[in-house]
This record gives sequence, C-alpha cells and structure tokens, in this order.
Amino acid sequence: MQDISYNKRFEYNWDVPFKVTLGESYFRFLDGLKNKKILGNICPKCNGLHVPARPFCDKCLVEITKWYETSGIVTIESFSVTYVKFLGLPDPPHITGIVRAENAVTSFLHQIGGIPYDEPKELDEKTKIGMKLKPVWAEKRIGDIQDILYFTPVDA
Amino acid sequence: MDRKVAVVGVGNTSYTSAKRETRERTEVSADCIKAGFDFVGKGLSMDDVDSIFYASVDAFEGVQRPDRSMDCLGQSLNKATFFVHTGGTAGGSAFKEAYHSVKSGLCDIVIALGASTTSATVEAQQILNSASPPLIEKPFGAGAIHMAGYYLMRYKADYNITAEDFAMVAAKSHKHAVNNPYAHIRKGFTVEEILASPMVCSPIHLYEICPVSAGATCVIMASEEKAKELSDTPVWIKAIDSISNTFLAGYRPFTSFYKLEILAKRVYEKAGIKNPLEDIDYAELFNPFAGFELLEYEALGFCDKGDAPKLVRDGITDYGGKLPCTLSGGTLCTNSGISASMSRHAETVLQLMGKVEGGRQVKNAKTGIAHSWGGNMGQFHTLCVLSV
Repeated sequence: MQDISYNKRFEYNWDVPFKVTLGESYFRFLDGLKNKKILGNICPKCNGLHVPARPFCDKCLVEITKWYETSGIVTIESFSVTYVKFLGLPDPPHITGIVRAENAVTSFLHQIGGIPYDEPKELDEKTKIGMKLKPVWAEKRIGDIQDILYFTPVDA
Repeated sequence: MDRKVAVVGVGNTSYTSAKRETRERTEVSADCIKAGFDFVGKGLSMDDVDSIFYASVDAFEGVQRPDRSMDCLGQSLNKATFFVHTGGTAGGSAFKEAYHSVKSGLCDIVIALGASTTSATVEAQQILNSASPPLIEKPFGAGAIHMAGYYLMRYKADYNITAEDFAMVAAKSHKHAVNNPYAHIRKGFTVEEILASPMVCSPIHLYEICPVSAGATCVIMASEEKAKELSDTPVWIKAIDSISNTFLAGYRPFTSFYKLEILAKRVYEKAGIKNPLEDIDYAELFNPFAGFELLEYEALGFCDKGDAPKLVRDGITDYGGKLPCTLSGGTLCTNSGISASMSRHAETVLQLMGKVEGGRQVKNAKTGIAHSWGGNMGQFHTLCVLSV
C-alpha cells in the first residue's frame, strides 16, 4: 500500500465575478428571448441564417445586419442523456442536445425535456435525432439563454 | 529553409490518480525533465537547452501562467520559457512551437513539456465548463464528456454503430495499458465489463471515459547536427500542423471529426503520405472517450465513414495488425491533462525508436503519427508525422 500520509492539500478557491459586454447582436438576441422570440440574423454574403444571432458571419467574416424571427421550432442534431449527478447540473436523468432552428447554418446547445419515461434508460430511445422541438419559456424572463427552460417535442 | 528537426529524448514520470498524487506540482515537472535528460544521456543538461515550451491550462492548475511557477524550467539559468495553452491540444501545440523554434534556426536544443495539469483540480468537469461560451453554452453545464456524447450519439445513429463497437475499441486500450508501465488505469477491462459499467452520458459508459491522472511528459528536440551527436535513434518530424474551429457549436455538423479530415489532408501532403493505411506504421490518437478513436480512424483516412469498427474487429489497429493504434492505452487510460496530448507524440517517438516497454513494441515501425483534440466542442486538432 502506497504511503499517502503526506498527501496533504492546501485548499483555496477563485470566486471572481465577470461582466461580459453583449454588443448589439447578443443584446437583441437575448432581449428577444424576453419576448419569447428566438431571433437569428442572415449573412449578407452567404445568406446563412445564424441562430443564435451573431455580430458577424464566422465564415465570411462580414457584419451581419439583417434580422430574422424564427418560428422557435428546432430540430435535434444530436443529444446526450446524463445519467449521473454532476456538480452544479440538474439531477439525472437530464438531456442536453445540439439543436438547429429552421434551416440555420449554425446549431446551438440547449436542454431537452418533457419526454415521458418509466425507466431513465428509455430516454435514449425516446429522444431522437431529427425530432422537432418547441421552446418551453420561463415565466419570468430576464434576457438570458435560460429564458428558454428547455425544448420539448412539438407534439408534447 | 530545409533544416531537419528530430526528437532525441522522451521523459515520463510515473502516473497516478490526481487525488492520490503526493508530489508537489513543480517536483513532477522537474522529475519529468530529468527523465528526459537521463534518456538522452551524454551529459545533456539544462545548460545545453535554448528554450522550454511549457504546456498546460491555467484553470486546472488554479494559477495564472503556471509556467512562471516552474523553477525547473531553467528560470535561474536565464532560459527562455514559453507558455503554450490551446486547451486539450496544448501538448500537441507546444510540440509544434518547439519544432518551429528549431526549424527556424533560432534554437538548437529545446524541451517541450506537457504538464501534470489536473492534480490541483477538485472537479474537472467544472473547469471544463468554465471553458464554454459564457452567454450561450456555459449555463447548461456541458463538460468534455457531454461534447463527446453529441459526437458519438450522432455517429451511432448515422452508421448503426453499436455499444459493442464502442466497447471493443475501449477494450483494446485497456488491454494494452496493462503492459504500459506509464499508464494510470491498468485494469484490462474486457468488452463485457465495459458494457456492464454504468452509462454516464449516453452513449458513453464509465469504462469508456478517461480518468483524472497526475504525471508529466516531455520531449527533447534538436537540430540535425545536434541530434546526430545526441542520439543513435533520432526521430524526425516530417510534418506538423493544427486546425481550429469556432468557439460556439456553430457550424459543426457533429457527424464526423471533419476538421481533422481537413488537417490530415494538409499534413499528409506535406509528409508525402498518399495511402495512410499503407504508409503509416503506428498511430497514437487522442481518445479521452474511447469512441473518439473510431471517428479519428475515419477522419485520418484509415477507412471509409462508418467502417472504423471493422478495423477494430479485424485487428487492423491492434498489436500485430497493419496499422497498430494507441497501444499505450491512450488518453483513455491516462489523462493528466495536458501531459496526455504530448504523450501521444512521446509514445509514437518511442515506437519509432524501438524503445517501448511492456511488450508493445511494433516491429519495424518507420513512420508514425500523433494527434491531439481539445477546446470547446472539439475546437482544435493537432497532427504530427514522425519518421526514422
């Protein structure tokens, strides 16, 4: 048995607040969420719809100025069901996924919920790539990505 | 300028669990560098070294610019030290920067050190989450394992990949880690044991996930002239490059490691590799989640899309196969943070030198590759071609 009697630790932590400047695009996107709107914007060069809205097209590197209000319906590109408890995450099982709004050229991360199950492992079968989802909104919205609590199947 | 650069030495420390680590963090790096000098022999010491490239990730170490705290980097000897931080690929990036410094003619002998990054980390997933885009992705708590889940779930669905396919490639790493004295997890888990281990984030089982390890890796590089003085078995760097992707999930299709495909074409062209399966004798691939190795076979052109499990089933990528891969056990069995992304290069170098311990030595390996993966949603890859 290895002697670990000298495996002493000095504990400290960082508790440092930050404030990130939103800029116009993220401000308008997050402000849209307050009004239950998922906004995207369209690159003037490649016509790619970006959701969430971006200050510039990451491919063409040009400013994006044309705004577009999506229907709010998204499609699952991929997902993962978390079955164990992680520090700071909801109790398992919970689902996070990559979703795409309409024909956007970008997808984004969010939570997926409202899928009924008896045994947690069923969630892997009941959640499907290509499934259409709609947003479930927080009652009190503050202009934050979490104003959408999660996305749920459109027929739920 | 056609200046050749070789790796002449490799240093490893012992590896253990980050929670059981008893060495102070600078001790680990000091031991690692000493092991590198001992490997080369010939009286090589820090006095002979021009520059040191230290790779780590601040947040894991709990200190900004952790390189500053490493007195073993020759700070008292007036050495130039550089901190290289590209997240999970930092080991591969430091290797690349070290190479550039010699290739350019500015340095003759350099060290690239992959630090034991995670021994101070209390909760690794928490740190990984702090690397996510704060406005859009961070609130959902995704760590590396969730990101891996998105890639592997999509791969599973697109090509009917089975749980057994993932378990088989995991078992290959576990089997070989048993024979690697520098591996952390040496349990030799079988396919059955892997499939019976708990599902953590689907489709990934517990034994398909890397541990949080402690330990460090370094390589010593030299110009052609110095390499010939220092080593009878220099391993030459033929081509090396890296590639990046957007911070947000953005344009990623999650259907493949498509950025690695682009990178591989770029690097193979420089190295003159036309048929990877024929032209490469050994590959160390970055597999913190076992299924990654399958995606990497496909991105690296070893097989067509969806055919990677067949390479494993047919033993093509196992010991004795046509293209043995990751016989160290890989990142799956040892992941001390940034050290793990340099271990890929160190292991390939050892294979090409013919100096691998534990009965894993591939016969007549002349050309090898080393790969690393990291960043938000797999933002970066590095790829290096080495040869004797």
